[in-house]
Amino acid sequence: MKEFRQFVVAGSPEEAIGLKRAIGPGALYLAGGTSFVPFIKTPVDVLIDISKLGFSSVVVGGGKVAIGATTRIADLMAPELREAAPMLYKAARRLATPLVRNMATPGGNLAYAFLPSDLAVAFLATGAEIEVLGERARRVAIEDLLKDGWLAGDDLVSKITLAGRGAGQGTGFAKFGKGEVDIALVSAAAWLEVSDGGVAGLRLAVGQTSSMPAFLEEAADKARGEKVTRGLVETIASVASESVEPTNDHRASAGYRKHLIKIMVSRAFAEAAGEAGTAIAD
Amino acid sequence: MDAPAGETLVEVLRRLGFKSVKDGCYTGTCGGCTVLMDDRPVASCIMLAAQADGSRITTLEGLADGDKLHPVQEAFLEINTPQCGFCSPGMILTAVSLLRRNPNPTREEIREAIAGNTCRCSGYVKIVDAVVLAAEKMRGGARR
Amino acid sequence: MKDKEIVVMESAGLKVVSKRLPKVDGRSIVRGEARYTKDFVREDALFAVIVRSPYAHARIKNIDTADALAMEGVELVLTHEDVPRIAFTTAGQNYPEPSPYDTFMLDNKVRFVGDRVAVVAARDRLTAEKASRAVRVDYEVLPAVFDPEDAMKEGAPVIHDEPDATGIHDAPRNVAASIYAEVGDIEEEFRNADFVSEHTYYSQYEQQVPMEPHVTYSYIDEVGRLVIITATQVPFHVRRIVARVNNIPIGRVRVIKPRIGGAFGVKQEIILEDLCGHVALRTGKPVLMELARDEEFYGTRPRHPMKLTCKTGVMKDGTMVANEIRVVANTGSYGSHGLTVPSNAGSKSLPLYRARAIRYVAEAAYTNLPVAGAFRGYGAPQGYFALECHMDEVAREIGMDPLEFRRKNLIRAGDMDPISAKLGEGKEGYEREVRTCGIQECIDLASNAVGKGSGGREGGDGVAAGGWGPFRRVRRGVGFALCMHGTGIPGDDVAGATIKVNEDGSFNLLIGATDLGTGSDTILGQMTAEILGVSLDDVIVYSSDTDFTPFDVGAYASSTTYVSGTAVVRAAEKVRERLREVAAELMGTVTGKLTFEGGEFRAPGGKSLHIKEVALKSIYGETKRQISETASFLNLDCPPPFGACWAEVEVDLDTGMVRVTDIANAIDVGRAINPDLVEGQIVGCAAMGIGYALTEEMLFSAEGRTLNASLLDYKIATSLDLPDIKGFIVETVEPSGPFGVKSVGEVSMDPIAPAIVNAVFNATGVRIRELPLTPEKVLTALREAGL
Repeated sequence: MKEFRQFVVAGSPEEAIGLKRAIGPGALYLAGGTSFVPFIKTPVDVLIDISKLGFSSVVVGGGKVAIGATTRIADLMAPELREAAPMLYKAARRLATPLVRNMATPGGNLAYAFLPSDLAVAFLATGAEIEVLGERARRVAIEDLLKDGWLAGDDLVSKITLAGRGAGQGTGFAKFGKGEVDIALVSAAAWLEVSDGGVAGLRLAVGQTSSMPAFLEEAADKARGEKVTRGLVETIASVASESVEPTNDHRASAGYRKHLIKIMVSRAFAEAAGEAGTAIAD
Repeated sequence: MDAPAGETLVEVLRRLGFKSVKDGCYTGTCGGCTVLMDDRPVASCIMLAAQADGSRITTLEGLADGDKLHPVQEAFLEINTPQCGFCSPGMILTAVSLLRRNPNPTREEIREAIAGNTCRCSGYVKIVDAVVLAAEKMRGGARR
Repeated sequence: MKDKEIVVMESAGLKVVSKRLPKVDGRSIVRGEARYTKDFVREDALFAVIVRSPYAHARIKNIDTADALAMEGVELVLTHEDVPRIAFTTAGQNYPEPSPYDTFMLDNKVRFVGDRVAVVAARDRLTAEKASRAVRVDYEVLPAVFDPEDAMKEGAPVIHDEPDATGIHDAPRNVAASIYAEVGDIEEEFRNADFVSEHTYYSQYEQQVPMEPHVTYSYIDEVGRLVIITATQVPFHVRRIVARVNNIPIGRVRVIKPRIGGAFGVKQEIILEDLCGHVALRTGKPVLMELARDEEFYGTRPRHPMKLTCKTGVMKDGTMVANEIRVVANTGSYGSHGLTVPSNAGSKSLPLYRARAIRYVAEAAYTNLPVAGAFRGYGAPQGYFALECHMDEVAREIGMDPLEFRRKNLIRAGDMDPISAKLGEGKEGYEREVRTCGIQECIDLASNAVGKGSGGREGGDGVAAGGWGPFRRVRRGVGFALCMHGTGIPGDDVAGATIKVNEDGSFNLLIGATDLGTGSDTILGQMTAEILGVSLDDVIVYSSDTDFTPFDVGAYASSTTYVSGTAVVRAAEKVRERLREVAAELMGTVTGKLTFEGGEFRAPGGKSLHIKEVALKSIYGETKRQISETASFLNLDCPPPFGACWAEVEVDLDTGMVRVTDIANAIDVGRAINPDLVEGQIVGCAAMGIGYALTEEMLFSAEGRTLNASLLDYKIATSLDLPDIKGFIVETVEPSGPFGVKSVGEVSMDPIAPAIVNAVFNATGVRIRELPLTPEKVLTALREAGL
């Protein structure tokens, strides 16, 4: 038994947002519920079910992939999406368990991004436009959302839009846990665009347990224009691991996490290069 | 039916007499509470009963057709898979759902599908063997 | 698996035994109709919750229960002032238990973070939990000690300073138990050896993590008796102990074990029953107690961590002349199994190698950490981790092939085992003769099954479309370990069986023996059917109900098949004899002239009667009688099963992650009564052993709080973490065991961890002497080795 007073199925986004604004922190949006239902300790007044607001499908078209925030994460692994948005499958396949993925949603995963959210890390790498409803309604690039303090108040994520995969582009996702099924000790995501054997664009993000994801602009910038070589990957990975503060807990020490960040970034980068069709030169 | 807002799906199901649904961890990490919600396996201990409103829930009690067992149940018996049996209801339902979507899974695909159902007794070998056998039966040509 | 050949040393015309028959409870499990403890609970039962200590070591100065009691729906709040103060051990062992009596139902002192402080009973779990948070406790916090060697030093805080505890070896020094056993003159042998080698190994707190947490349901029946339905391995010990600490006669208590969801030793213990029974007695109402998953981690009985120092003396040609293990064990804050587990670390491992002198020394120290207890293997996995890694190291140090070195010194069939005689569990040991030894077959099977590129899973590490190329460096290696174990506790394990004849030729088999999901109901039914010449369907098995089934110590020490099996065989033979008498009467002859074959009594001259017809006539014929026979068996032997494990690992040189890519576990079990169930044990043990070697450990804060008390943070293997484990059965037909059985449930754990650690060495040249081999630990060792 969990201590909730009221369960309200919102009939419209306005109803959901209005209720949240009226009650404040005592009300929580509920889509899948997998991030907080198991762990809730203090009583919550109202759960606002947002799973029936029509945000539950993925639309591919016009060079974009528009993901409804309450789509089931299991559905993001559909074979039809692997061509247009290969990162989705990579990030979802080791997110919790199949049982959780049948309920969990990308909106919920983003809202609880400090776990860390594998999808947040992945979307920071691919780039994504986040559509937020509420008092501070906005459409914002995910890295700007991070800079602005992420989500707060009555923010209700409705849609996440990725650019469809283009020529010479590739993605990589590397997650390290103590077993195959685990919260990431460290995760890394990379998006790479190559032209003429050189880096046209690189985006990197890193996640660690109990931390917000980090978007590594500085490290990624260093790669621009460079030839894709083993040395480049190693250099970028080193810069990445220097630019993130590693967390220290009973699951792993700071020193080990720092090392893992370097390894996971290099693996995600290498995977992206492979997918982009570029061999990594010695 | 009415349920208090905070009651989880597993609590409601057990209260209604569906004792095959197990709560082993209350945090969605062991899979003992697995039920099928519209044919998808979900962890009923981390779902509020209210979230199931409008969906069809299947527990293990609902799988057999009277005396006639589902091929997954038959296969579990033939391989002598269950040891303590606590993971079995969840495991069987997850397997049933897998075979509906993928009638010819590889051993690796089976392992992927049951990754959320933890078994402490068996080491998973006889579970995978049973799902392979069930798939053969369902494709209409089981030879053991 | 079914295509694998079982190596059988002797054929037998068995019809039911040796067959892969479906478990008697299989159908109910797959239909979702099997009933576990929590499934019997009435809607209106109370729920009771334990209030637990936040401190590792403290005296309770005062407990204020007024606020909790005033809450609506709260029935009862009890502290140490409200319950009898009777010292006992929670260990589920036969009386007199060899563990110290250092525990009280509720005490005025707490000795680990999570220790019992009070109990709250309320109308439901949520109310009980809320009320438990309203109990106010004043503590006098005391200094705590967490390292067993520190605990035994001068000036360490004394954990058991209560005057009414008994059986502690040296309470002021925090020594729960102390063991010394020697055969031969070991110091002399060390002096004369050509080469002496010593290494120290460390093993960790490991948790059993059964899928079903501890759960107990108690109620008072209509004639005033206390009925306890509980997930236990030891119903008769529960009955005795609950009666004793509640000051009621044993006959007033009935204990029933229904289906349970796994145990592995953690339910060989009185975790909830004493308190649950007490609340039922006080309130007169039915009471349910169930541990939450975090309590399951720190509030039960994990594996004893040990520091093990192995020292071996060998001659130039590899002959072992002296072999010693010295152990410091951490028994946690109470001494349950504190003598016997450390004792087994030596008594199960040291006999494996013939040496002129053998010595085992162990001390078990109290610390302010969770209480250690019985966990599958019971000290032997710790002992073998150390011994079999050490043997590998010694072999390399003297330039000898590790398998040749083992072979040269292995115990053989026909040998006596003198060190076991010196290591009885709290009493005089029994000298053991090794009559059957299938270790050679085990070695052949396991070594040929692994590392030949013959399978094992790829995948894992998310090797995806692009691949990681040079950024994932791995090395593979193969390692092995050998083992032997025991079968029961000689002089201590006792089992009873009753078989009652029904008129249709079905038989009720009443056994105290405890089926944990292991299938003992099935195999004991198979033995009965074999002797009576009927099919398994004709045997109705009812087990583990102290009112109806004869005494049985319960499921531990790998005793059930051998000890309970012998009682079952004896009872079945008695019943067959009684029926033979009836058959003789009916056919007008004497019993000596009858043969029994294919279920029929055959008289000279061609007359025959099927046993079912005889059964019918025994009840409804001329001389009506109820044939029902009881037999019991006290085990005086401990025939060792043997085993060999070969493991292939892949070590990721960049992360330190170790994966087992292929593993074979081959066990000489004497006889497999039901090969499916034996394979289940062999493979299941390997899975558990992989966790023991690589991922499982309890972690504690500086204040002694368990940091990873959840399935998220204490990693047990999922289907994606394991290869297709290969299990092999070897049969050597042990003459002292019913149908030739020895045991399988614990021996199969013993070789796994050392095989993996040896494989990591083979892959990388790096020797790690501390479990588990976490990625961080492995990476540190790799870096130090320059990799």
